[in-house]
Amino acid sequence: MAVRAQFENSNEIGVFSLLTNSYCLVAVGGSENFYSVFEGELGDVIPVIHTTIAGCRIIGRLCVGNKNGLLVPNTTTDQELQHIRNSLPEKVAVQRVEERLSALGNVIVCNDYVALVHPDIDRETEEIIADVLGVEVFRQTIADQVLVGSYCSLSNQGGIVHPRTSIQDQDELSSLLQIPLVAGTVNRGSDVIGAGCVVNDWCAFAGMDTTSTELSVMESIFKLQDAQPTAIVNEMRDSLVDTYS
Amino acid sequence: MNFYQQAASILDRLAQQKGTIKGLTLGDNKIKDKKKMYAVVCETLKCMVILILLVCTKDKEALNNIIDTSKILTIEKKLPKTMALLLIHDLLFTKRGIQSSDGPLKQAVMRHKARLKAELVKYKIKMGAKTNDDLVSQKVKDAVLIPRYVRVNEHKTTVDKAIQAFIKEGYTLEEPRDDLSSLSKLTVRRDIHLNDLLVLPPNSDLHDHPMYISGELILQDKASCFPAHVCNPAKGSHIIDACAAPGNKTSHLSALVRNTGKIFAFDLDMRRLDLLKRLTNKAGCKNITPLHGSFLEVDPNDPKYAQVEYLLLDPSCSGSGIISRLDHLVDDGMYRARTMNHTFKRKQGLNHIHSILEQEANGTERLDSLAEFQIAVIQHAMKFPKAKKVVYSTCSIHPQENEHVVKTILASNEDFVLGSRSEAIPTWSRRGLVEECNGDKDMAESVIRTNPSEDYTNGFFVACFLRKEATTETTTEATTEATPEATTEQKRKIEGDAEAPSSKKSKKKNKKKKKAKTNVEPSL
Repeated sequence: MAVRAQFENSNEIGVFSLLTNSYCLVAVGGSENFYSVFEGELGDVIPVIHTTIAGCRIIGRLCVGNKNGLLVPNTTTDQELQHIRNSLPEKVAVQRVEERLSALGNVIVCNDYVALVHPDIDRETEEIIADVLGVEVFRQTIADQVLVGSYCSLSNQGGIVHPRTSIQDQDELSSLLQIPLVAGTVNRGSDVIGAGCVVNDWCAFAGMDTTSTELSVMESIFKLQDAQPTAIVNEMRDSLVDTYS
Repeated sequence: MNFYQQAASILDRLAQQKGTIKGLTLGDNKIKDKKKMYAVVCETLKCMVILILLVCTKDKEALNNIIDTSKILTIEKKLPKTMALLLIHDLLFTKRGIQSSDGPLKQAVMRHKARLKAELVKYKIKMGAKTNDDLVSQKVKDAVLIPRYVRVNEHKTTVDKAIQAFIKEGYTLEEPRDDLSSLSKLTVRRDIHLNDLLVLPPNSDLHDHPMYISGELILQDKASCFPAHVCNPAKGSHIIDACAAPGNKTSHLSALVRNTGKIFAFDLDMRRLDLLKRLTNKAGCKNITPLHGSFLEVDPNDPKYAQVEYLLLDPSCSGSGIISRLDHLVDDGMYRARTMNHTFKRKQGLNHIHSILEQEANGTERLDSLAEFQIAVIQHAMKFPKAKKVVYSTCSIHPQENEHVVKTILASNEDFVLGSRSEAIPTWSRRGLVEECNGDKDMAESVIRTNPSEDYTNGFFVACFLRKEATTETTTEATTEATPEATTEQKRKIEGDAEAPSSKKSKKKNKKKKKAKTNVEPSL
C-alpha cells in the first residue's frame, strides 16, 4: 500500500521519518496525526518509534538504516541513543558515526543489501556502513547530485531516482543495486524523492501533494499492490501446503 | 604475515626477472609450504591485471571508466605494493580471506575492505562478468598447455623399458599422434618426430618420480631436444657445446654418441656450470669436459680442439618463444598491467611499469645486441679448423635473432652453407619464414621453426650449417633423430621443475659485459 501523509503541514515526510523493514522512526510532533498514519499501517508488524536526533525533528535526514542496523550522527545525545536502543528490536545494531557529513540520510541511501554513498564520505564511515548495515557500499552520484540520499528512494524491490537521471546512469545503478529503477517525482513534481517519501518492502508513505500518477508509479516500482508483510506466505501458499501437508 | 612477506618478495623478484615462478617458489628451501606458496603466487599473477586496476590509479588509459579506484596505496603509505596485491587477492578472490594473524599490514588492507569489494563489483559490471573467474584474462585461460615431454636417457635405460615402467605404474600406452591438444591423464606415447622422446599429458608431475631421480628420464621440452638431433654427431667425434648450462642438451649429445668421443661444454657462469656437472653426472655422461669461460675467447687453433667436428651453439636469446606453462602469467599480468599498446617484450616487471619508455627503447636495441652476439658466436665456431657441422638454435620467435642471423652468416662466410631440409628433421613441417629470408624458399626450407601456440612446444629455431666440402658426406645419418639445444633460458624453464633457481642476475651482468666486449655468455 502507498499512503499519503503530512507532517505539520509539510509534505516532506521523508525528512521527519525513517522507514525500514524492521522498524520505523518518526519525529516527535505537536500532534499525533503523523504518528497515527504510520502506526495504523505498520503497528502490528514493526515498532514505530518516536524520537529526536540531537534534539532535531529532521530525523529522516540525520540517520540512515535498514533491517540490520541504524546509523546515527555523532550529534545524537546519549539519552536519545539509549532510547532508540531500548525501542528497537534486539537484532538491530545501532551505531554512532563520526562523519563530517553529518546528515547521514542525505549522503547515504540503502536497502538491505546495497548502499549508495556520497563520493566524499570517510573511508572509516564506509567500513562502518558495510559492517553495521551488512551492505556493499558504492560511492555514487545520482544525476550528478552528490546527495544520493535526498534524490533517491530504495527498497529491496525497486527504486525511484532523480527525474533527470540519464538512462545510462539508471542502467549502471540498476546493475549495481540489482533492482529495477525508474526516474520519477513525488509531491507533484518534486525531485527530492528521498525527502518526499519513505518506503519498505510492503509499504510506502508519500507527501500529501503526491498525485495519483506518482503514487501509482511508486506502487508499481516498489511492487506494493498486493504487498503485505505476510505476502510471501500467500504467494507461496500452495507450495507450502504441498510441502508440509 | 611471514608467508605473505615471502610471497611478496617472490613477486618482486619475478618482476625484476630474477628467476622463474617455479625456481623462486619450489626451488627455495626457506619456504615451508611450497605448494601453497606456488598456488598463491600463480593465482595472484592471474588476477594481477584486475588487482592493479583496483590498487593504483596511475594508468588512466586502462582505468578510463573506473571513475575512482580505491587509491589504497596513496592512503596506506606503509603498505608495499606487491604485499597489497597479495593481501587484496586473498581478500577478494579466495573464500578463506587473508590467512594471517592481525597485524598492521592486514589492518591496512582491512580498513579498505568495503571499498575494494565495491570496486571489484563495479569492475565486474563494467566487464560484463558474472563471477570472478570471468574476469581472468582470456589469454590466461587459453594458455596453451604444453604436454610434458620426457627424454629417455639412453645411457641408463631404453625407450621401451621406460614405457614398460610407465605401464606398470598404471599408464596406458597410446599411438603416437600429431594432435596433442587433448591428452588424457595417465597416458604415454612416443613422439612422432624424435625417437627418444615420450609425451605425457600436461601437468604430469614427475619431479619426484623414481625414474627421474635416478636419471633415467630427463624432463626436457621437445624444443630443446631438436638441436642435438639435428647435430647428430658420429660416434667417437669431438663436439663443442658453446653455451652449455644447464646441460640437458649436452647430456643429450652424450647419449647420442653413446659416451664416446669428447664433448667440451663451455659456460660463462660458474654456478650454472656446476649445475651442468651435477646433471650430466646424474645422467651418467662420462665423455663431457666442462670448461668455465667464454666460448668466444677459446682459441680455435688450440690442439685440444683440433678434432672438433661438431659445434652446438645455443647462445643467449630473448627467449621470446618460451611459454612453458606459467611464464605467461608473469608476462600477461605484468605486461597488461602496463599500458596495452607497447611492442611485445617478454617479462615486463612490475617495477617496469614505471619505466615504460626506457623499456621501449630497449626492445629493439636488445634484439640487435643479442643478434650481434649470436652472429659473433657462430662466426667464431666456424673458425675451428675441422668443424664440419655447426648447429645454431634459439628459443626466440623474433626473425632478428633467427632468419636474419642466418642470412648474415651465409653472406659473410664462404666456407659454410646451410644444410638442406634432409639434415634438419625433414618430418617437421614448420620451416623458416620465407618472407624473412628475402623470399629464398630453399633457405626457409632448411631451417626449423616452431610456433608455440600451434605446435605444442616452446617457440624455437634451429639452423644447421655445413662446411662446403663436407656437405656431400654428412647427409647419410640424418633421420628422425634431431636434437637439441634450445637456449639455456628455455632449458631452465623447461626443466624448472627440478633445477631451476638460477642466475638471472648474473645473466644480466653478463649482458652488460657483453655489450662492452662481446663475450660469450651463458645463453640468456
